[in-house]
Amino acid sequence: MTDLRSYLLRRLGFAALMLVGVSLILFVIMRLAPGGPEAVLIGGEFSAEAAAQIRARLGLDRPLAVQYVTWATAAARGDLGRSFKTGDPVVTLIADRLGPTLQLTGAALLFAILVAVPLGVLAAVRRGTAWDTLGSAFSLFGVSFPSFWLGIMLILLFSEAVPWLPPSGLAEYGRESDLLSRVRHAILPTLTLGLIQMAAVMRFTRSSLLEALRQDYVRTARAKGLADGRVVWRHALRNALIPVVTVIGLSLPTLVGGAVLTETVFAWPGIGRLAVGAVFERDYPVIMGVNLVVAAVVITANLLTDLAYTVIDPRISYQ
Amino acid sequence: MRLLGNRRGMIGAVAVALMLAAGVLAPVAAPYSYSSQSLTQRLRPPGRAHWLGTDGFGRDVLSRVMWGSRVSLQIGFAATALSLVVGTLLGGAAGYFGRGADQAIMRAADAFLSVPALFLVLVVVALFGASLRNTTLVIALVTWAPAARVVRAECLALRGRDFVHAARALGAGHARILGRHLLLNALPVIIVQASLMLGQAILIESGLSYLGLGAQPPLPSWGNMVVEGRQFLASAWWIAAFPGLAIFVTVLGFNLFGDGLRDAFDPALRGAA
Repeated sequence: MTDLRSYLLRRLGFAALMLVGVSLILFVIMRLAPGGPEAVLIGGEFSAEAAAQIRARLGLDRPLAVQYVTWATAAARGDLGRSFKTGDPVVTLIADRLGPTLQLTGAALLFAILVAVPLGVLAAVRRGTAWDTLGSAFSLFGVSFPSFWLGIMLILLFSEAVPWLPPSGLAEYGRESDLLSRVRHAILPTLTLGLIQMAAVMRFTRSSLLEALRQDYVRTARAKGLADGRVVWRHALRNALIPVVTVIGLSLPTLVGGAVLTETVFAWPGIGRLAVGAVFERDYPVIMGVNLVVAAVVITANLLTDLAYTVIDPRISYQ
Repeated sequence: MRLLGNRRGMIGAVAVALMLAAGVLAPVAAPYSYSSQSLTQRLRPPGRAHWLGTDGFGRDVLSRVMWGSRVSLQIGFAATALSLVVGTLLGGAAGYFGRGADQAIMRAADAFLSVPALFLVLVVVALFGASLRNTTLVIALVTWAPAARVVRAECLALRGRDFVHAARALGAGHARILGRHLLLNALPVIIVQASLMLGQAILIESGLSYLGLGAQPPLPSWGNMVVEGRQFLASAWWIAAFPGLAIFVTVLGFNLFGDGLRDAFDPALRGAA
């Protein structure tokens, strides 16, 4: 138990360090970039004095190190500053958008795992049959789709050709608490993000299980007369799942990154669209805030993935 | 040669070759200019004059898809090459030397892996401007880490094998062991990684141009064509459908080709994945 605690402490310390690193790199990148927010804020032609005035008002005229320390100390207290554009607190902007993004990515991941693991098992066990071919084709197609195009084609099929499902938004206007409306709106974006995610999971479940099925302990299990299903699910799959969990963990940033495009296609009011808007408007505090929160979410999820190893394989301990 | 007998690999090779040819030959083989507009030819469905139809400005979709492949493939190859060199060297060093080198390199890789690539790419390209060079660099910046991880894992597994001990006992130096014994044996894994990365790079590039951060109009890129097609989805599906299909076929081609290569390289894995 103390092992786990010191492991957790170390990981959390590392996570904090990583957040500092990420924010520092981003901070420097943004300030090195040519042009600033004043061009966007003023719009059209402006004088050097007007630009200087705006930069002073936003605190951009101070030395870089001072700006970063000011930002970081506030951030450590949970204050991510205010949007250059709207003046709203960044924390509020993000809090409003985090829910829809977590819903989208969570549902997509769940869908991917629930479909991909059984499919991968089926493809491995029925190796060389039509199931296997179908599964392989499916997973290859999945990793090859540009998500934004897949989303648009789904809209074409299920919103335009056959008007079954709404093409955009979180719900009809003013009906955000209507569960049925929420679910109907969530189907196409979840499918888009999930289909792409499941390909990798399926591919790895299949190849990892095939590998496991070749091992001696599987032969032993078969030799002692265990039923086929028990050998596969209890002996082989359990060992095969470790690389699969790794792949799921590794794919989390891709999942969140994929949300940027999926949210843009489906006008989904999440973090991804907030980031896209902020980047085009050079809204530095929002860019910093979004990236910090996204990195924190991904780091936390990765930590949970690593902890999941112990559940799957008790031989793994944390030292 | 075994690759020739691998149906999937060959299908992939043909798909990739087809797209490459379309891009290389676009200046001479494209039936129309990518930018010539025609008000009378707006939104024509696919037909004899325009095989893939025309867009909202009356421009030929086939010609634009052909021109569009140039940007995607150039960035894809350049970014992958750069990222692969960096990732293989760092991953190999981490896996072989272990200890401090491993710690430092892998923690850096972790940091890069924990920031969703598209967010980072988005910030850099939006702020520094979308150019061939910027986009290539930033894609390499966000894709070296997975490559390094995969190569490291492979080297870590190989490091303890008997033939490596034998080589060391025979007096082989670090460079020889790493290059000749570890990385060469890791080659199938690196190649599969390269094929996936090519596809990835093209997907990232097209995603960027979908967000408006790729080639600027009227120069066509597959991503910006899909955006333009989006507004005509109900009336002219072909404008968005075909450039996206081109991305899909190209990426699928690279993935199939990589699988085929792996099977050809490593008989033990043939048909395994």
